[in-house]
Amino acid sequence: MNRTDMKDAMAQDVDVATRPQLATSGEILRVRDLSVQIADKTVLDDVTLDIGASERVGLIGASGSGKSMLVKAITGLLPRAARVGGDITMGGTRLQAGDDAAFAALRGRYVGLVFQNPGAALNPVLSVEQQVCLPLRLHYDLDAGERRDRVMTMLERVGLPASLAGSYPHELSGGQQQRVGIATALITSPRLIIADEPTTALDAIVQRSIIDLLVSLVESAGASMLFITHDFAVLSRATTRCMVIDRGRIIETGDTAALLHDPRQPQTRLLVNAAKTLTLNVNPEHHHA
Amino acid sequence: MRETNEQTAMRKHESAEPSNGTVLLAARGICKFFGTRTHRIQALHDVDMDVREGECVAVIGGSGCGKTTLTRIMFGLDTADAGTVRYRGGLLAGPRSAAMRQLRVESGIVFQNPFTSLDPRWSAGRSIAEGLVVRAARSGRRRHSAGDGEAIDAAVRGALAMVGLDPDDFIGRYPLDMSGGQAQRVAIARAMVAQPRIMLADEPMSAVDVSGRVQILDALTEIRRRQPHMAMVIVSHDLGVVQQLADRIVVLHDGRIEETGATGDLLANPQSAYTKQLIAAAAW
Repeated sequence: MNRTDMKDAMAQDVDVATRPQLATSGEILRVRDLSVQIADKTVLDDVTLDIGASERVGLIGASGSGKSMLVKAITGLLPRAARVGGDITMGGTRLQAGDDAAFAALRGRYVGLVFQNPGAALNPVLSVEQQVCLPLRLHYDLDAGERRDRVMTMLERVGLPASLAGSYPHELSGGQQQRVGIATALITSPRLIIADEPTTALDAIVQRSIIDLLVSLVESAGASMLFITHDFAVLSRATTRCMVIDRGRIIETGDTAALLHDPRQPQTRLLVNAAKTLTLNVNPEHHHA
Repeated sequence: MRETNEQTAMRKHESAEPSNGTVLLAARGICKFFGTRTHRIQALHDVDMDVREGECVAVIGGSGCGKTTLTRIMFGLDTADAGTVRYRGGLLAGPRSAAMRQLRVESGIVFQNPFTSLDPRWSAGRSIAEGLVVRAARSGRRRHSAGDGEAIDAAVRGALAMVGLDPDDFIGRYPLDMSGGQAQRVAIARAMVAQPRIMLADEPMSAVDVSGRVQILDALTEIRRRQPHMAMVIVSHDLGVVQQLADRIVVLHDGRIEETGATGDLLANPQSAYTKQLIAAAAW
């Protein structure tokens, strides 16, 4: 299926009755002065960011810089002991820390999540079909036949054969598991996809195919994406704008290519130089099979 | 059909011999099967591989291609269903064989995740010293002497310095107080402290961030500079690291050797379609 066909199919798939009736403006996510403290340790400090419609934004930073904590804060998955300050607005809904029902109503419907380790993120006792179907069951009132049709269409879009619908996560390769993760995140046609290092556990060839698939599906659906990674090759491929987080603060933001080419902050320069040190130095044009 | 392959591999390995005197570790006709009697998966198909003194060999390939299985078998951490592994000419024939005991003493191993390979209740100094303490105890004395203690302390500090960690700062630190890069460098110091003749690093950078990877690459480069006779086997799918560290590359694909060659030659002029695909994906 080429990209145009995919876009058409996606447009047909999401009808008015089932599309989330939330954001209609260009603003998908708005975070203002977000601070999080856990056991007197500040893990996020005055974070302010916006993600607009159809924007693909990267978030980079060293281990422990607060990347995953920011995702948890945005999706209402922080530990109960966390003290949260600031504002989060998603799809026009202003979210209060601790309002579990409001966050739960958005997770899987307005915002889809793709996690780092698909082997751990997928429920081991649910088949592929049950897994992908779960957000539809939770958020939409569809009959069983319609749910199954949507799941099988989504499996085809992520490149999984229908014969795997009855398989369980342990029977799949890492790449197949992540395709199931992507299908589960996209099945409800969410407006925002948050991908938290979705290819870290995969080898280079599978990583490339997964990133291409994710970007293509997000583009086709007209969704926005927040992509967390510490792989700069992936960052360049998947995002157009980028933010750098260090010790819980957003220290730099800008066009991805420009930021990687000319980082302003010393911490960003350290990260970029480290990534350049680890980059394979060959001419890729000579190696296409 | 699978049984026939297995028998063929078995016949082949019986006639295989290590190639020459400079080879430290030699695998011949290695086959490995996983699964049940009714559903068997062959993870390795008749694999031959040598590691010579002083060289760094990188084993690369996609997830599930058999990299870790092959190197675990070569370092005596797993057994082959068919084939042989010889260390310095001696056959690894079970845990009590002379060659296996010699390999255990003369090898150092770095595992993928430092936080699961280091004991969280032990300080870095204690973890690094453990091998030396055990060795001193087995040298015929029940307890090591004060002189041994000083020598062990000096060796631990030397190993920490070699991997770029301040001995005064890190000798008493616990894994919980370390970043991924720091913890993996402690694990490398542990593997290096007894000055092994051969070292295995199984995806040593996959669990750490980009800054930590550079620190580990620097540590391994420094080790190679200081100990030029030590052989190193590195399992990785990070070709940028392999390019800087390895002398030779072995490409595994679906449990078979796809291609092997000097690092520069193989990366510049790969022969197989799979290797080309692997390099194109890494050089994104």
